[in-house]
Amino acid sequence: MKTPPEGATTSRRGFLGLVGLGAAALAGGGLLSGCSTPAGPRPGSGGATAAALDKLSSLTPTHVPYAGVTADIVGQNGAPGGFTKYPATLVDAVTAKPGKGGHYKAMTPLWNPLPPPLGENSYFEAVNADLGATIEFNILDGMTIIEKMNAVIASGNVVDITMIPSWTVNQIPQFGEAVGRLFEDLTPYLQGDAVKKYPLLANISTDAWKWGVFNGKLMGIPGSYTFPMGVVLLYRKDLFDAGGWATPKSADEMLALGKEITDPKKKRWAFGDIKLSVYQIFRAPKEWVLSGGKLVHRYETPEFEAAVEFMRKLYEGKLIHPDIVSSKGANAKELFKSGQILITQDGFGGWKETLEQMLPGNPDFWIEGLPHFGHDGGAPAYHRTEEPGQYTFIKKGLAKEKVEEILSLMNYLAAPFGTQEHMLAVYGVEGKHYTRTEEGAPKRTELGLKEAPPTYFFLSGRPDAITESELPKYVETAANWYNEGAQHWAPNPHEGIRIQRPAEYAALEQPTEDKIQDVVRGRRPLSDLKKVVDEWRKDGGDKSREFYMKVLQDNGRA
Amino acid sequence: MSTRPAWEEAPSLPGRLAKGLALSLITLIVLFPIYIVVLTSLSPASAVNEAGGLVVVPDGFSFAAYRELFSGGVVTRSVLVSLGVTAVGTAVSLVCTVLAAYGLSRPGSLFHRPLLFMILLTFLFTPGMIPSYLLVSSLDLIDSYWSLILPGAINAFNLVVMRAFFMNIPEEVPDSARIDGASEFRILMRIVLPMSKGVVAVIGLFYAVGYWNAFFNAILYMNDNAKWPLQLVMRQYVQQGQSLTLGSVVDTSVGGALPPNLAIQMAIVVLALIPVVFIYPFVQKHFTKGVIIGAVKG
Amino acid sequence: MLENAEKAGNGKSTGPAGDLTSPAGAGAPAKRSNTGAKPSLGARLRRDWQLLLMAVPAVGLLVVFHYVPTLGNVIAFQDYSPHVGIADSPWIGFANFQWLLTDPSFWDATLNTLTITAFQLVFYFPIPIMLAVLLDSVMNPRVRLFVQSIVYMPHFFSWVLVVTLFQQILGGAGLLSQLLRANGYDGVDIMTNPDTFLLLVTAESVWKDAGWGTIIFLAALAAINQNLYEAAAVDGAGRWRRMWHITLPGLRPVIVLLLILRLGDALNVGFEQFFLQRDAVGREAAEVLDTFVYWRTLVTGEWSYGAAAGLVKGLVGLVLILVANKIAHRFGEQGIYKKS
Repeated sequence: MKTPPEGATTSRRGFLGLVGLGAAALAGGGLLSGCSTPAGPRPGSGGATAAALDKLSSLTPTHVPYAGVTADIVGQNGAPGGFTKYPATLVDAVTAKPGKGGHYKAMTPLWNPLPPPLGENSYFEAVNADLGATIEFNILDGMTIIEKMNAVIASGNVVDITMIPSWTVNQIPQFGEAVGRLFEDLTPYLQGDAVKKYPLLANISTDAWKWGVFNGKLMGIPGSYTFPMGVVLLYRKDLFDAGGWATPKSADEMLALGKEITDPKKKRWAFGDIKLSVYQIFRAPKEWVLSGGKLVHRYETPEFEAAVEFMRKLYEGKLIHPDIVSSKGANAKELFKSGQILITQDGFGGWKETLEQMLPGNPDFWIEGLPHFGHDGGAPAYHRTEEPGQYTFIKKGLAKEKVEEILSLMNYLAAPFGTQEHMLAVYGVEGKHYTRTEEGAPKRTELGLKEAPPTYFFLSGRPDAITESELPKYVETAANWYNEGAQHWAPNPHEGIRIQRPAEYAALEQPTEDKIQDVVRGRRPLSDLKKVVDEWRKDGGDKSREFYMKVLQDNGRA
Repeated sequence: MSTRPAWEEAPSLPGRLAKGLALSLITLIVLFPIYIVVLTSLSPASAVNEAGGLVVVPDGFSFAAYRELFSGGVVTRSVLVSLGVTAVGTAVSLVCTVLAAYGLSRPGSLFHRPLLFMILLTFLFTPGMIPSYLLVSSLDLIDSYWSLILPGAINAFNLVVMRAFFMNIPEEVPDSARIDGASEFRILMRIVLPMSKGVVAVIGLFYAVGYWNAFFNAILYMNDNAKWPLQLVMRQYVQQGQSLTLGSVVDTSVGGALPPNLAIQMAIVVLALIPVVFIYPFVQKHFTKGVIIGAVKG
Repeated sequence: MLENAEKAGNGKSTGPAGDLTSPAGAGAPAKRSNTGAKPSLGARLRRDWQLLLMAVPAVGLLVVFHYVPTLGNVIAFQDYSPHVGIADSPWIGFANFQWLLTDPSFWDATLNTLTITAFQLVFYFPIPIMLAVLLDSVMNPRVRLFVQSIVYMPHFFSWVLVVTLFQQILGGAGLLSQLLRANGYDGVDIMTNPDTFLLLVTAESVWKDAGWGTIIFLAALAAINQNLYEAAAVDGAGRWRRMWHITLPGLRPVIVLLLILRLGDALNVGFEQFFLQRDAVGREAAEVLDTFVYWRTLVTGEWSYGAAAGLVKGLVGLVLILVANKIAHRFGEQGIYKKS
């Protein structure tokens, strides 16, 4: 009974919407309600869709790169560029006032302290004045954005402008259907050359725009799409230099180094939770890999097994900080900053953040991304984040002029680094919300820190870069590190296909990860890994393989 | 100073020692972690970074975390919101709970069993988040302070506990008043409540603490940031450093001038404790002994 | 006043608490004002309308804000999507329940939850009572207030903080381990041992909530008729006998009530505490129903499945409460409510 025979319903609900523009097919969902027998298929399998983005080119806006500002370290293979020097003069990218005096509410999540609301916030006033329209923010608690968005979307009470992070979108079941009910179809406004009316939106890459297509319609303005490296291994270069340790070039060296570094008496451990990075060092695929015409899941690859074995050694040797081992609530950043952890895994933004927090009090503090290496001394295989970090939607049913006005505002807010618009929207007014350092970099004032967290910045997308030119050494190291890393993307057979996987496959993930954790942490013998993978196959892994294979076949890739 | 009544024998020395030791030990076990929390909230960035987490050994003092929390009007305003919601909410909850607990406490009264059973069921079956949101939204209570009060105004646990205390009042007391023709409301106000100050204070405390600590209803129902309660505003401080997705976004918040995150988190904990420390003596005041029989006459 | 006290004190000298718990006493129903044949509905309505009116505000609030949205739990019988709505989501009968009840992970989580509940009933539940009795016996009101104000504070700490504090002291990098290492021993790591996990979470719960839990017992202790103590003391009953014959019987109705309510809550042991420490000791030791449901609803969007789990939890709680209430009646206790 655990895995009932695959009912026609499951496959129908699962596969109907697969190919490209599946909206019409999914509209037939009502037909599928006939599964009332208890022995029927597992519920919750609805909403599976996949859309090949390369078939959507006709819908996306024409790409017209903005030539106003260029980075001095050029990003390659999808890496962001870097500005080692701050632009002496800022470009005026939007000359005409974008707004027509409208008043719009915008919902965005925030992971910072709440700014004072409109009416008490001089930063909001300044930006709104330059926009020529009023944007009033309804800020959401960032940590509970999924709960809130599920409720808001179920009720249909969306405001004029809504930003939703992509990971939230992917956890909202049948988002593709909801989106058409709640949000305006932007295809007629932005498709092809129509976008030229909004030159800064045209500066957003076509790859990013493709992800903005839901159910065959251009719905969302993509943002935060230029940092495709999911995680970074950061290390304490200052302490490495002081201790005379060399960065590792292979898994064996890493293990030996870990043993050398770890010294509980000195409250020093080599590693934080570095699981995701270890997978990539061992070149385990992100999810699936195509091998001899067959799909192989990462669980089934020898690379994954070797990575698990390696992680197990780290736990066995007690090389991972005990706080990280014993609670999800442990703060790896603090432990890394204090030198209790020497190699940690963080988002790319964590690199700069840590430096910014530590350098003022400790000028000798220095961290860098660990130089790229594979487990055998070869190259790593990095899991590339393809999807943009967020989408901005416009409420359905607004008058045409209003939609156009909002798009003009989005165009303004899409101004990239080095423009006056970007500076105002991100930092506020010079002399008030920020001052310039000797290097010409903006430094927030007390008022700026209070009033100007990322708000307007979240409403639109733009090519981002590494821009902390007040730390030229960081920009150079980080941009070069990124460029080198970007040479090692792991192959992904499903690249460029938006897949909303059925809940039943999502439900399979946690139990399997739990069992793998048991192996990694030595609660089960290493030999059990095979059993774990067998169970995964039996419990739905093989079915999901069929699903993902069908996706490839439907897109002519297998 | 002691309140030992005349009839009670003087405690023995070993007994007093054992009791003193036990109390000291318990107090220490609780106080030591609280000390860590308070110390961390008062530590400068360097000390927090040195410790790699909570600070156990003092290494300089700084009020930066508290200054950060109170500069700008956002936290101050949210304190007012929380106080208002807590005061009104506790009043609404307490009045309704006292009335219902008394109304259902008379043995054999009409419908008291089905009603009690119905109340009990709410303790066992809880509504989902989305239906609750849809209800509040359809009542047009989004962005209304009532949305923070009404959905959780009655707590079945509190109601049942209060009723149990009411039922422990000797039945002859209200019965004799009934025979004298007093209305039920009058019996409640003049006889039952004065005899139940302790439990009313406790249940009032439970409700007040519930309103003061609540944030999830505000997450769901308050789009207007000016109406956010303290706990929700505080949560935002704790999230600093969390990126939009794991690393794929540029966080534009420039750090540097900000005090260490952990010190702020602990300052938030300390601030949340302050009203708690002050309120308890007021509750305890009502745990007066020996009033039960005396009150009947009044 | 003294006269009244005498009356109350002498009413039943063998069971002094009987006065305070008279409805619970075995002979209590006989004292009911309405013995004999039940009056007609109209007569009862005329008699009790004021009482019913008093219950209206609370019941009304519960009906609107609790019962109406609780009806939304019908999605347990659907393949529901919030974006399609209840009206248009397909009905699938008991399929969700069937999936739930045939899922071994559900039973593992249920077993863990019940084990934790049972363990905590024995090793957690009595502690607030003992602590309350201890505090109540402190004669110096300032000391009493001071200690009580301190011990109830941890209730206001989040679980993240409580776990972090425990880690700071008992963890592999904590004070205890560092102390051991400084003296040439190995560090200990109490936080990651699945075998002692039950002890750890109970210790955390005791630290966090035992002080808070005393409040209700302190209120109950205060409500005990002081004259009983005096009368007993005059009769020559010592400290321990007074505790046994007056204090505990006085607390009994509240203890029984809380015990029954806790049983109704047997399948809830909290979410965050276990969510945080789940990886540390593994799913086998730390998966409880709430974490199980979390993985299956919010993370995967299977709202129907979560609703089904919620209904099962509620039903089990209902059965436990009714059974416990019955048992309480057998022992002559009031319980939650009594058959009239």
